[in-house]
Amino acid sequence: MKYLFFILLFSSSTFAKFVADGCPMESVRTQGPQGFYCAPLYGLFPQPQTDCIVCLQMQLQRQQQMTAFNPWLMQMPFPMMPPQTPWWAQQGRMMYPNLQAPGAWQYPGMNPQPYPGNAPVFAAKPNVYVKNSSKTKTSFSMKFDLKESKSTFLATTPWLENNQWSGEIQGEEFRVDKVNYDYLFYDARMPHESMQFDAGWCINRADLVRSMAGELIQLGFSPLAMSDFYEHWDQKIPDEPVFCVYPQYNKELDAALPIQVKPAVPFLRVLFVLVPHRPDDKSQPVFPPLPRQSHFELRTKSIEGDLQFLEWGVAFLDHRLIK
Amino acid sequence: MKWLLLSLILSSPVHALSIKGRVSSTQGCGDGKVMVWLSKIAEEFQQKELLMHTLVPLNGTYEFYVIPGQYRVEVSTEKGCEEHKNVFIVHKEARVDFVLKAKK
Repeated sequence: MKYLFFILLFSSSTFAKFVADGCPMESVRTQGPQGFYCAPLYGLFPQPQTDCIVCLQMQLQRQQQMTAFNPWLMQMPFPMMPPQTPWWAQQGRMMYPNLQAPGAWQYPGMNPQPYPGNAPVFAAKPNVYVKNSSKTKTSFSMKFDLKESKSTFLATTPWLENNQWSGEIQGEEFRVDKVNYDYLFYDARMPHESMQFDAGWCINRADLVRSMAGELIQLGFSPLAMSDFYEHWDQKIPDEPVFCVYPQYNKELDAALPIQVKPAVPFLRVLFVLVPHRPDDKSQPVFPPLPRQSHFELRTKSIEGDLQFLEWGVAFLDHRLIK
Repeated sequence: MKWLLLSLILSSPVHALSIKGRVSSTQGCGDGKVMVWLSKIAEEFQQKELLMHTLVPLNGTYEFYVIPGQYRVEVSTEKGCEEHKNVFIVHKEARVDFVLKAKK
């Protein structure tokens, strides 16, 4: 049985090739227990059960990925693990039929019609957290520079005063206008020109949130930030079989929506742009292309210092941009 | 009347309008966060379409940026306190505060 398994595993290298750099045409980067590798997009979709040998290879490969996926993540205690359905999701499902979408949804992206602005990247819920290892109190401000940007806000908490939040940092919370916030929140439409659509990975819906969370852990996000990420995005991603993830880091985001922070502390930003795929979609989409490049070199280097700001977000594209 | 409203909407500048407010509560609604939901009210929608939502700590503030139209802002807490207000926004910022009260 062991020999059969090894024969199947090695022969499956035709379909799944571990690579450090780019993937060949007709394949995409995806994530499995041993890291990132190249595989055909169709291999990521749920397959009907058959007894053909190729299907058996792929089924074994998928089972291996499911059971051994990120074992280091599975061992982490709560709150790294997905929480129960949050109270607001239970209420929201009864009030709104589209709760599971990030907003007005029109496959394969956002319906822009009900929203202000023109930019095609709908950044839903970038949250900004503060890490304050010395626990000292200090004043802060975060100012969005919209003059040079095509970005438009859709929502913020707390509200902005002249495109700025200001107040005090108390422990690992922001205190604005005498109220403590675990994080500062905004939704915004951002331009896509400064963003990258070559590097990333594609993965089935069941593993999607965990794969993005794995990236956040590597970047050093706090347990609270991870818990909020799971709580929100377990609920707010449409039920499509496969998503391609295009991570954007400081370089791309600072160009799309610059933020000035005071004091001048390290500020790590990451935004995962998600594009869904169905089995009958084009195998070679025009835009965005399937991700074949590694995102490792794009990552912002991990930041250091007693005081740090870290921002995570997930974004979807205007459906008209996807071709 | 419809034409007057329509012309008002069309002639309004195309800059982002907003619905903003503060959320507080009396006793009985808990001291946790409040979810503020924004949905679009339109005749063509058989059901409400959720546009955005945000979790706000008690006494905290929120702001939604919108285009002219009719909206519903709903707030709810884990303890089951809830309230809603309809907002028709044409060209001015709308202030929509909530003071949640426990159901009797």
